[in-house]
Amino acid sequence: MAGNVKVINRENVWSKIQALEYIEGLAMARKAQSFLRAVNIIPGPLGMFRKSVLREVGGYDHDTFAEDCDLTLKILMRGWHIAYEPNAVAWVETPTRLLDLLKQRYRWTRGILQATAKHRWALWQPRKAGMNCFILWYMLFEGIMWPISTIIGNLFFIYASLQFGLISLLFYWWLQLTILDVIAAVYCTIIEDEDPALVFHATFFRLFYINIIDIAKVFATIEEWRGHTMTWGKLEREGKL
Amino acid sequence: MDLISILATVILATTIATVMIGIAAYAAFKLRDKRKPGRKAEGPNQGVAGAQEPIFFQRFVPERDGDAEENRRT
Repeated sequence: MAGNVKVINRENVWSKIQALEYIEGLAMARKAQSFLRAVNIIPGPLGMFRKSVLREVGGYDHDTFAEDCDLTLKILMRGWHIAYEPNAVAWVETPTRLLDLLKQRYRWTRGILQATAKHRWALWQPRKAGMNCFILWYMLFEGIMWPISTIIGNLFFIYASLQFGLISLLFYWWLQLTILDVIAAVYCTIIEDEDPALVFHATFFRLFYINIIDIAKVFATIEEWRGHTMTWGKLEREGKL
Repeated sequence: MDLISILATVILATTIATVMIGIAAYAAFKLRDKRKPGRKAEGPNQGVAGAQEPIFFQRFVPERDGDAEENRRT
């Protein structure tokens, strides 16, 4: 069972955007995945397992930097179902500084790619892997394709604006994405009974946050592909819990 | 200059700035990571690769009301 992870230290723009991101990108996504009983990551802060299942899959491995994702995939690959429980809430502290945030996302991106690579056979065997094949492709899409397409889209519209004067194209593209973000934020904050003021940060999410994060994700993907070494490092905690 | 043009210019400037900030921030993060001292060994399993036996917490069995009262008396 995957729990609902929420941000407790909502003290600056970075942590407030993350609070919204956790509600939309994690809670709602897991709620949707839970319909298929195929939640793809049991979050590190809150998960509940059958002891026998943990023993069956061998517990946490030590060869990826996203051990929660790896463990979840191992459980799914054994044919078990994973549900999401929105009422089981874990309050977590998130990075409040940009470089700490990039460090976290760098580790998440490479860790998820490592975990996906461990089970890559399922990518090419949809009949045998079933739903797990879809889950892996979804994770690769979210981890690789989505950030790359955001960056390529931005560069294309910057080029079109500067080279051909089509500056309104960039604006309308940004506007339609922001409207979608705001609608999703309104829906998610209502469903999650969250602070409505978070909706305001959906604009910042599209304005600068996702561009910066996606660039870090793409660099992390390139480094993973090239086999650069990495360490756990240490995320500085501020003890706000 | 109409409103759309002004807003579009703001978005264009912000997009260019965030792309540059994104690249600079990533470079700064990597630089900071390199400058940090090497990690110390924190435990017996630190850096050990491969599957290992899972470690479980010990089950906590709370004291029954009767036992607690008896303990207080003695």
